[in-house]
Amino acid sequence: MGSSVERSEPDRALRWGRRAAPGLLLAGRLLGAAVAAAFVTLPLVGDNYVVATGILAAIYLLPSLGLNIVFGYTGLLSFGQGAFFGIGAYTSAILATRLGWPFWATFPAAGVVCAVLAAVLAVPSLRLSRFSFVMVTLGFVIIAQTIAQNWVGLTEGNMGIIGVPRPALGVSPRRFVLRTVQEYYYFSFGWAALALVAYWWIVASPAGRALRAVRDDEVLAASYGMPVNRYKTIAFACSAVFAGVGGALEAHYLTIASPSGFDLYYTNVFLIIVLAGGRGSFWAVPVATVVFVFFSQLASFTPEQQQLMMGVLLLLLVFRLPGGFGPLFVDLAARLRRRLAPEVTP
Amino acid sequence: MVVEQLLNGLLVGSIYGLVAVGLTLLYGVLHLVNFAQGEYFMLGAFATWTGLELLRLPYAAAIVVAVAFSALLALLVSLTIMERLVAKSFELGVLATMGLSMLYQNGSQLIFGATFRHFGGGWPGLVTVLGVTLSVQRIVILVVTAAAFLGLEWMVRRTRVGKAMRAVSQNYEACVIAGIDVKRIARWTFVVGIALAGAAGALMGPIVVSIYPAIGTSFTTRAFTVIAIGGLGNMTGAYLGALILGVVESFVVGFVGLGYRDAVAFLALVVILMTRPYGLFGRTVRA
Repeated sequence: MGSSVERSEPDRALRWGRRAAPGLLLAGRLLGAAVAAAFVTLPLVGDNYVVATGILAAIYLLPSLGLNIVFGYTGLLSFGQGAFFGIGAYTSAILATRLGWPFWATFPAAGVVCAVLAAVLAVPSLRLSRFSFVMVTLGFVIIAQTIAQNWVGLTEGNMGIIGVPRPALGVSPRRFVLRTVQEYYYFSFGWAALALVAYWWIVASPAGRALRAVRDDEVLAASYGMPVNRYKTIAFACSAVFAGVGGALEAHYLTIASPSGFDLYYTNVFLIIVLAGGRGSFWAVPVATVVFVFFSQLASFTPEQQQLMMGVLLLLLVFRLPGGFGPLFVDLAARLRRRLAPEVTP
Repeated sequence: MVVEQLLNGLLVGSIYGLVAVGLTLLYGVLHLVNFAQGEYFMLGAFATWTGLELLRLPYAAAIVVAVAFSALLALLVSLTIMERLVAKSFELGVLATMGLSMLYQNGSQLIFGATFRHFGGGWPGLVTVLGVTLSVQRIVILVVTAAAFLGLEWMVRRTRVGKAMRAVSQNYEACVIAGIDVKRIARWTFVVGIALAGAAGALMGPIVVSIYPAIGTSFTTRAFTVIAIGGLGNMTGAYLGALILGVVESFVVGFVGLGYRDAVAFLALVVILMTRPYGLFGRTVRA
């Protein structure tokens, strides 16, 4: 910097960036506001099916954000999301039906139960290889499903827990039960927004930086005195909280918690959402969740066709787009910017 | 009752062994995982079923067709996918083979339908050995599996390809430098393992009687448990591990309940990985 003899390319680019920055920022904010407005007004303009799809997107958003924290930002491939999704659903359903707890107690309880289970699971499995962690988390899904099917006293077995109440706002005399899809949409919209804030708070915090350091070079991070395993455990527990609350959100929407909530289908869906968006990329995962859910719900494919496409997509992502579609759009934006400012061409 | 459970366990364990041996070879030689391993069992069973029901072949010929089909498919998949995963990150291998598994399972569902298919054929004749009566089918399975493991052990120890496999497992880069065709070794390892998994499907068809496209999933999980019990990459260990798992499952079904069978394998896997990550019989952790 300082008094340069002649303007170099990066300098000019920087100047262009400074000049364009307020405009870009405004454009970004406008786009964000437009998207937010679209989501807020969706129940007023869309039919019930579209609104239900919006609820599903909010439900899937939570486990996907959690997976991005543990897999995208920390580099730990976990199959556990499906298990915590199911456990969260059961926890909230059991507390609500047996003990009559309100949602504002059962949802956090679902998160706490999942966090504790994750921490207990993480301590031994993280000491071993990556292979062990993957297999232990996968095994955890199957074991959780088996318990849900067989511990009839707690879980009602294959029947599942039926009659999970819809959440009610307010206190006893003035209770307002969320019965319509529109009402539940705003309820899940609130949870999704809360989850996004928590996700941002985790990723942007110093701890979030530590997670990325663990992912990028574990040995180096450890040599700087970072407690690598503690950060991994925290990341895994965070992912479990997101998945657990997501499961609770689903159980109170469908008014049932059943062993099929542990199907590997869910684990696969969350993995594909994170991979397709771009692991470790902040906005790509929420965008991918919305695109995935709306595409899979509005396009009428049979489950086989849908899973066949998911398989193809997975192979495509692994071999052609290991960074996901997110960076592709970032590249596109960069190219667009170069087109707009031709003097900066390298 | 106990003898019956034991024999049943050994039989199922033999099948687990046939499915798992490819997995342990793949991990031992190339440090690759394969989450689609059980799907090759399923495809082997469906290929045999196609031979029996649509082509009206005798059972023995249908088995040959199924094994040949499995080997060809494995060659194709090896050339297009598996060889590109060698020396890549572990996570990519997991995700790519998961994608393959989804393709196989849902592809078969589109072709054959999601329903159960009756599997005829097999050799139902009974033979009594030392007071125990067994069907010929079961004896064939026990003998074929034992022979396959002996043959593979011989191959790995004595033949040129086997020596190259061991060399690759010890030091991948040195083998590349020494001019060993690592891709060819990878291909050979994969094709042999998949052909055996296909054979397992062909042989198990008459025992399970009805087959369906999702039948492979549980065999994938069993195969992973088996190689963890045996020690990743240890073939004799995998055989013993498979027999142990089969017998334990059989006793759990007999004395605890059918509902817990699927959890046994994973519980064993988790416990083994946490307490003895080098397997029941291993002494050292592989680098």
